[in-house]
Amino acid sequence: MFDSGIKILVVDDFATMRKIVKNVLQQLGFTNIEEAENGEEALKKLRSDKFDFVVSDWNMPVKDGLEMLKEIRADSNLKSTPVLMVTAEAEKSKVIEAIKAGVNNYIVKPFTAETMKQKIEQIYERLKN
Amino acid sequence: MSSEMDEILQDFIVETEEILEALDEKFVELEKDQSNKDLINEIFRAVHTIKGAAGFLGLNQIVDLSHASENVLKKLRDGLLSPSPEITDVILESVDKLKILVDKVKNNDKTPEDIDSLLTKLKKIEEGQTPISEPIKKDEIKEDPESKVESEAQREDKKVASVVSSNQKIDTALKAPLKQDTEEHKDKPQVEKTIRVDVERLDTVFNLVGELVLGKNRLTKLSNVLADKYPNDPDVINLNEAAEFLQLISTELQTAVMKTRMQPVKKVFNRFPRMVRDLARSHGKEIELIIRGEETEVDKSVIENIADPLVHLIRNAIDHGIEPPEERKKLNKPTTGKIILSASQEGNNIVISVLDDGRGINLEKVRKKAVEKGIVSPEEAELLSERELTEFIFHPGFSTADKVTDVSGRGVGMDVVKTNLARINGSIDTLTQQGRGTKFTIKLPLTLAIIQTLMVEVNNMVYAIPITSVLEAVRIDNSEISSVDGQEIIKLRGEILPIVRLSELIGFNHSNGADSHYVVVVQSYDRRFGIAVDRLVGQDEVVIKSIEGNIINLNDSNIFAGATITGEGKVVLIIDIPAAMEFIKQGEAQYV
Amino acid sequence: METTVFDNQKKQSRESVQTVTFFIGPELYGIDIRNVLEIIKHYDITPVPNCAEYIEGVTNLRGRIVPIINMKKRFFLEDDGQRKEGLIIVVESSDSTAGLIVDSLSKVVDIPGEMIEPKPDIKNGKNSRFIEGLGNLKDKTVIILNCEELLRPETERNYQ
Repeated sequence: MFDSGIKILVVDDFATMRKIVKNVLQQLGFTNIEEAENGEEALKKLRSDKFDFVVSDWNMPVKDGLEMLKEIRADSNLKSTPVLMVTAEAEKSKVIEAIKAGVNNYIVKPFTAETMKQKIEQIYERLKN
Repeated sequence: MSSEMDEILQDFIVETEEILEALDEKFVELEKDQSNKDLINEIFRAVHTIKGAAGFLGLNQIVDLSHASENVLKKLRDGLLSPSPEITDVILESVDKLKILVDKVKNNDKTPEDIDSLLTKLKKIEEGQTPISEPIKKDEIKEDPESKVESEAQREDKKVASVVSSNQKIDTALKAPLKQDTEEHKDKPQVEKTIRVDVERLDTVFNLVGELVLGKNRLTKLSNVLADKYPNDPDVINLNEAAEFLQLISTELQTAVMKTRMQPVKKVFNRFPRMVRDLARSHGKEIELIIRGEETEVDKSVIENIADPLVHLIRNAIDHGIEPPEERKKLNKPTTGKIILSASQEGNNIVISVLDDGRGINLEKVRKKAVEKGIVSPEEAELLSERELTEFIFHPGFSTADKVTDVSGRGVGMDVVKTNLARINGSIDTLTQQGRGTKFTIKLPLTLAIIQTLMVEVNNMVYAIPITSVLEAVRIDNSEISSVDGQEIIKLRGEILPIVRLSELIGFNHSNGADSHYVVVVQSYDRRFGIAVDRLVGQDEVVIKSIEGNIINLNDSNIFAGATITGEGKVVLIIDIPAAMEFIKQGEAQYV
Repeated sequence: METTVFDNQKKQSRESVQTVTFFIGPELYGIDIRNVLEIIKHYDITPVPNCAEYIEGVTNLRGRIVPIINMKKRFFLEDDGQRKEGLIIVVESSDSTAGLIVDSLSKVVDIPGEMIEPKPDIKNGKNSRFIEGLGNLKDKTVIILNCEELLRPETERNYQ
């Protein structure tokens, strides 16, 4: 399983979506959650504070999820931070791109808490291996 | 629904409304610059965002419609469709429909909206239009609305797994230990710079500050009384200083709190690009709307009140002002007309102007109409200055449009604009030049919540008159009041001034029969009249307050614009000057 | 919102209700104490011309402008202008606050849930909408009032 005390960063430009994701994470027992509005802000936060996990949207202004992901993987301090990408079905073809860029898993909107749990567990299981 | 979900739903509504409103502007920009991929992408992202959140909230119609629009937008963005006014129209229609759907959610209206025909249109565009280039063949998964998202996601998982195994980079990433070095971080986590606050909470703070100001006023009055009584007492001098300090701080606090309620006029201006575009199209006119100073901030209360007058002025400019392209060509004007909407702050006022480079107001026509309507005699009409003539357009029932169109001329005219502005202590000024255009300038206080008033008394009750309407106050003797055709008048420096007795306005029987009165000379529209009162109490700055609940609706009273609480803690009603003027309407022509 | 109201009602039928009782004319009325904000004795009413007849005016309740309802007129009773005590009970509904002028205050009583019966089914009673139920005490019957309805203007009801 995973440690519910881990610090999670939720990245999305839509405040309602951030709340939804946060709500889902809270249902799973996570309490230490922070938010960022876009990739740029997220990177700032990631660089100034330690986060154990990132849940990010794909499409965002200023800096989108993919660019952010690339920068995370290129940053020696951040490169091992697991990133879960939230996508819509229409973007599936892009998932390949995200995987190439080093995403750990992705989740399709709309999702349930149960799916979120599975995704996070999958990530941690793979990390263990 | 759990309260959390309910809260999320509320957030969704607010945020989505904001997004949709901002979209209108984007579309107009897009029409000007159809190949602007950034713009298309922004619109795409907005719709996409809405879809994502709506999915969680089970708002299926919103999901379906945004999904269909998103598909079209995606093709536009990727160059698989070329933009055209027709496509833009359908997308605009979709955005409008989304607004309706969000509205339904807001009003808890569960009846389904008919979106099928729109979905078909979108689908047709998505499939039918000739792509500019060969469609890029992707291994896109066929969109099947019936398919379960869950199972799709699982199918994708296998893909992820297979790609993962073939990707060295991700492998390292996956195997890296989770626990990183826990070194001390220099920077504290960044705190969000803005927060969303419920308007009610702000209103509470605002009300409390209002109370504080009232309390301060009482203290100041008391300390002044004491200072008169004991001018040399050091404690009294100290008290006076303390009161003055409190005065200073509370004024600053008031300003600071005011600022939290300030919003950029953009909130209102946002809707105009779309409105101008739609109206121009339906009227066969070419119009460019230029917006300036949209960042100018005004109090929330003002924002809520300027939308309607502005809509009216802009509609007028489109309908009556800007000429059709052919006519403009003949006049050697550029075929595209211009409307400039601008806002700026001047001291404690906000100035908003609407300028068009159309035909201007035909003052000769106005002169003729004024005579026809019997507002002035032909002789008087000849003597009227341009400025005076211009003012006639604000006269009730005055319209120079020859035919009634669906744009303006709906029976509500410029007089309503002027009355509505006067209600919120605003004024409007007109500058027009035939053949060149018209400029309307609106001046409004930055806030409607605090006003200066003149307190007056009648039948031992105190009422407040907004000082912006007051020209002067004079003492008169009962014998100076005479009556013409049932309209009471007085002569003031040789001029006839119609008056209305406040006691009658508020429905009391004829006044207490005092021998002398004060007449407060007020101005509304361009007309002056007097309000007879028993006594002048003084001038006071008051905070306008609402009455709890809805069992009393001051609008129904037709006399009061609001209520306030005085330094002594008494509730005082504020007189609505434009409404009061209705009481002297009968005789107006004679006394103008 | 709706669900909360519903919950309250359910609770009322089970639990006992602390009720503030008072007289208007000869009748004893009651309001759930949870709706009562306070009782004021000294007040200064500013009349508001041109509104419903049962509105006596408004008063300043610590910075809030609160409507004052003349309960006799609200119940279409003759108002002789006499006030035994002339107290105002300030009550709160879900979205409104108002003061009710009553003749005299009785006491706060605990009415057991089973002693509260639903209001008689008088469809045409003018005041029927103001009545929540009847509370049977040993010697008297308390007409329990519905604050939501009391503070709702006439026009809105007609509209509904």
